[in-house]
Amino acid sequence: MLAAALSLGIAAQLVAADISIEIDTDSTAVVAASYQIHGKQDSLYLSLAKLRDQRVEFFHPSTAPQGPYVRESPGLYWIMLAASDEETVGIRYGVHGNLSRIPLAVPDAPAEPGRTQINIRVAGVSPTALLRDGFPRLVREADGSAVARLENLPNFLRIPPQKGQWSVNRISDTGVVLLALCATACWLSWRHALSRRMTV
Amino acid sequence: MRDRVLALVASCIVTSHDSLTGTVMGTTLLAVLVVYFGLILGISVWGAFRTHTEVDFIAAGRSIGPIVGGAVLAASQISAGTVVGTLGRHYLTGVSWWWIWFGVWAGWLTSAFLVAPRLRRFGALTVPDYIAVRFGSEKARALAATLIVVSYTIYLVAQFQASGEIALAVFGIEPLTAMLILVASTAFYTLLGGVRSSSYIEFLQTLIMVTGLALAVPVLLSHAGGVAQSLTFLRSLDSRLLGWYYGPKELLAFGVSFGFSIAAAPYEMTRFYSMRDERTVKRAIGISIGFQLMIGLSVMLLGLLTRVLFPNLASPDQASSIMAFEVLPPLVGALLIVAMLSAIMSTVNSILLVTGASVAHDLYGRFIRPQASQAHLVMVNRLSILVLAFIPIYFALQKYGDVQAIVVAQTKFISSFFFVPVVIGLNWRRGTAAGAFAAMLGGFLACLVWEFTGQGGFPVHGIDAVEVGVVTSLILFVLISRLTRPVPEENLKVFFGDNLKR
Repeated sequence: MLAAALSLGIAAQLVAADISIEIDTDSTAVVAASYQIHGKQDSLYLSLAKLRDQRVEFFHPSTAPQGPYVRESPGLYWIMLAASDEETVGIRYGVHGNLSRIPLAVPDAPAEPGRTQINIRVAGVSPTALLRDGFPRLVREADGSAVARLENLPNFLRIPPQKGQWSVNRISDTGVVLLALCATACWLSWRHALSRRMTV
Repeated sequence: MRDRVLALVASCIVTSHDSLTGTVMGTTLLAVLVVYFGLILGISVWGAFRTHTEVDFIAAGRSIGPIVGGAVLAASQISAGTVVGTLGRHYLTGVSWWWIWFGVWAGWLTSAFLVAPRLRRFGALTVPDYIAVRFGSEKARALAATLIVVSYTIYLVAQFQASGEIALAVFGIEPLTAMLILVASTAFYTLLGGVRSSSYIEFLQTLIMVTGLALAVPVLLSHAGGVAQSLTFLRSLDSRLLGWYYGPKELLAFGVSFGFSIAAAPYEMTRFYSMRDERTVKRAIGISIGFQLMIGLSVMLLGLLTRVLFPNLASPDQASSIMAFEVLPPLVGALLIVAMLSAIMSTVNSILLVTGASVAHDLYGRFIRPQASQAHLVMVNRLSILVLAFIPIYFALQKYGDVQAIVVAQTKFISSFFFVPVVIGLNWRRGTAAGAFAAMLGGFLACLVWEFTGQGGFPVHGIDAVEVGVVTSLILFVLISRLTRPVPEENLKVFFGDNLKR
C-alpha cells in the first residue's frame, strides 16, 4: 500500500527540501532533513534505503512530538510522520558504519518539475575529494562544505572519491574516448585494405 | 505515446539549459554534437556523389549489406520513445514491460519469413509498387501512397512538436528554431544522398545508441551500490517492479499491437528493397533483433537503476533526462543525449524517405509524368522531401493537442491498412484488388471506430483497436476477394511462381 502510494499521483507536492549531513568521523554521520510540503496529507511517508554494513538510528524530531513510526523491510525503512498543521516537517537520524553512501529520506510527495528546490549540504567531506564524481554532483562552498542543488531528491548521497583514485565516471568517460579511437582506427584500416584490394 | 513522453520530459527540465551553459556538461555536449553533425555531413556528401538514379536514391542501388541493413532496421524502429518512453515505463513498472519486445520480434520474424524475402525478390522500390503489381491495380497504388503520405505526415507533426519542446527546455532554443534545425539536419542528409547516405548514418546512429546506453549501465550500477543492493531495494519499494506489474492479457495486447505494426510498416519495408538480396534481408532482420536486444536490455536496466537512485520522480518520463544530466559523467551523458537525438533523427529520416518516394515515385511518376527521366524523378523526390519536411512544422506549432493519441492511433491505422494486404497478400494467391481496397479502407474505419467512439476500446472490452482493425481487414479481404475476379496470372507469377526478378 505504501509502495502504491509512492507510485500513484498524490495531491501533495514537495516544494523544497533542505538536508544537512555532518560527517563526524569515518563511521558516523548525522542527517537533519526538513521538507516543505504543499497540499495537506493525513500523514507523510518517507522511504529510507537500507544500505549494506550500516545502522540507522532515528532521533526524536521536534516537529512530530509523537515521534516517527518506523517499519522495516529488507531494503527499506518506511517512516510515517503524523499529520501537523505545519507545511514543513523534519527528521533527524544518525548513520553508523560504512559511510560510502549515506541514505536520504524520500517523502511520498513528489517534486514539482521546474519548481522544487533540493539543497543538500555536506560537512566533513575531505578537501581532496573529487566532488563532481560523487552522486549527486557536489560543489565546494566558501565555508568548506560541499553542496548539491537539485530538482529531485536522490535516494542517497555517494561520497566522492579521493583525488588520484579512478572513479567510475572517469573510467566510463575514458572508455568513450578509447572506443572512439578504436572505431576510427578500425575504419581507417578497413579503408586502407579496401583501397589496396582495388589497386591490386 | 513517444511524443507525449518527449513533451513531458521537456516540460520537466525547465532550467536545464541554464545549468548547461558554461558547465563541463554543456561544453562537452557541444563538442560531441559538432563531431556528430560533422560525420553526418561527410556521409551525406559521400552519398550524394553516388546517387544518380531512382534506384540509387530510393534503394541505395540495392547495395546494403546485412550489418548496415540490420542497423538501419533497428534505427528506424528505435525512436526517442524507446530511449525516453520505454525507459520511463521500466522506471515506473519494472521488468514486466520488457515482454513487449517479444511481440515486436514476432512482428520482425513474421516479416523475415512471410514478407521480406518475397518483397525483396520482387525488387520494387516502394510498398505501393508491390500493391499495384500484386493486385493489378493502379488505384490501389494511389490509395496506398495517399494513406502513407497522410498518416506519416501526422506522425511527423508529433515528432516535431515534441522535439521543439525538448529543445526549448534543454538548449533554450525556441520551438520553431529547433524544428527548423531538425528539418535542416535530417532533411538535408535525406534529400542529399537518399537511402544510401541514410543507411550509413543510421548505422552510425545505431552504434551510438547501443554504446551510449550500454556505457551508462555500469555507471548507474556503481552509484546504486551493485546488483544485490539494487534488487533488495526495488523489491522492498514495490514487489511488482521485479515481478508482474502488467497482466498477460495486457502484455499480449501491447505485443500484438507492436508486432502488427512492425510486420507491415511501410517505412521498414521499403528498406528491404535497398538490401542486396533475400538472404541479406533475412540476415539483416536477425542482426536488427540483436541490436534491439542490446538496446532493450540496457533501457530496462537503466529504468530500474534510475528508480534506485531517484525513487519518487514526479513523472517516469523524466528518468532518462535526469539520468543524462544529473548522474552520468559529461562524455557518457553527452553520448546519451546524442543517442536520443539520433533516435529522433533516424525515425524522421525514415518517414521522409517513404513519404517522398510515395509522392515522387508512386503518384507523380505514375499519374502525372510517367515519361519522366530518372534524373527528373530524383529531383522531384528531393523536392517532395523538402516540402513534406516543412509541412508538419506549421501544424506542430499550432499544438493541436493530444499528440499521444494521434501517434498511437497512427501506428494502429498503419497496421490496419497494410498488415493484411501485405502479409496475407504475399502468402495467399486469391487476394484481389477489390479485396485489398476493402481491406485497407475497412480495416482503417474499424480501427477508427473502436479507438475513438463510445465503444470503450481496450479498457472496457480488453481488445485493442488494432486487433479489431486487422481482423476486420482480414475478413473483408477474404470475403471480397472470393466474390471478385482473380488477379491476372502474370501478376501472381512475380510473387508465387518461377518467374522471379533477382
